[in-house]
Amino acid sequence: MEGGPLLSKWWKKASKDFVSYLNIEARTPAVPEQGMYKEKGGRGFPYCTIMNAAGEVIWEVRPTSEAVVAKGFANANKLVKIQAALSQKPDDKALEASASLLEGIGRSQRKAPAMSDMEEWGNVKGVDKVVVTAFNAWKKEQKIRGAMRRRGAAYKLMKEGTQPEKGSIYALGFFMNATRDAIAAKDAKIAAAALNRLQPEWKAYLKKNPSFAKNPRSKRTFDMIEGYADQVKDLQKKAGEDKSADKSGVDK
Amino acid sequence: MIRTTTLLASAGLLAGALSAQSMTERYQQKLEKEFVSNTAWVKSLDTAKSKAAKENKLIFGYFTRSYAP
Repeated sequence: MEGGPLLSKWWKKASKDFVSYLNIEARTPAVPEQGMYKEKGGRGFPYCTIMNAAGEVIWEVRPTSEAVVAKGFANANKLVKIQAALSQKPDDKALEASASLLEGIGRSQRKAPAMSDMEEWGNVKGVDKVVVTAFNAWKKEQKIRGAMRRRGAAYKLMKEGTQPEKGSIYALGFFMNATRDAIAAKDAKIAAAALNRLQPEWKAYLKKNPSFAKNPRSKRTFDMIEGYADQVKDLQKKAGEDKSADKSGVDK
Repeated sequence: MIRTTTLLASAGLLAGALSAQSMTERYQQKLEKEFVSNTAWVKSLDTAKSKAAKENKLIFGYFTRSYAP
């Protein structure tokens, strides 16, 4: 974070649209505002939040890209508006559900509400459609995130038709796992589909993190993807399919 | 016995003082990092709140640490 996005040009430009507050936990009373990250709900560093003018955390977002920051602030601004409307109409159930739902999906380190409650809020008559769309996208992301921890889960999700959007922070790992597991399952169709998503995500990752290209792990990843491409070709050959994975798409 | 206790207590105090000094040094080193100068960070939450209210903006709070990498 501190050696990457927070040094970027887009971050410098974006930060003009909000007030940037820096809190450093130093474990010495000589530094003011110690222990605040815990008070605000942080459970690990870095803890990245969007706060309202009262200093209350209303959203949590890791500024990994310009789009992620923009989306985080759009959601936080939407929440502020809904909360303001709710304060004018405290008995409005749709506004209440919209605020609770949006507030819930803005939590990553703070404890999130129960999924059953969130589903219920999403079904309240008149609930904000934009919030419901954000909730559905969030649910999908949770599913993908969960699949990263279990072997075979990314492949299973791909078979069901669920996969990360282009440029998602989970995309590279997800398609790497999905390709590996589809090959293991000898599923030529899914293996080729996962590989076709993996190759451009890898290219994009290297473009975004040029220093990683010098890392020995980069060469290992390249070799792994190249190996997958060969295995997918073999699988397709065996399955009698004419589609072939474009090995030239793999970038060092 | 008393002498040993006194020595141990002194060593503990010294270690504490050194540790506090080391923590302050690490904090200063953190402040010298490029990400700090790259952004117009406000280092007091009260100031950030006032600025946010005045400029009708939200606050991005970045909580990090200097005592460990």
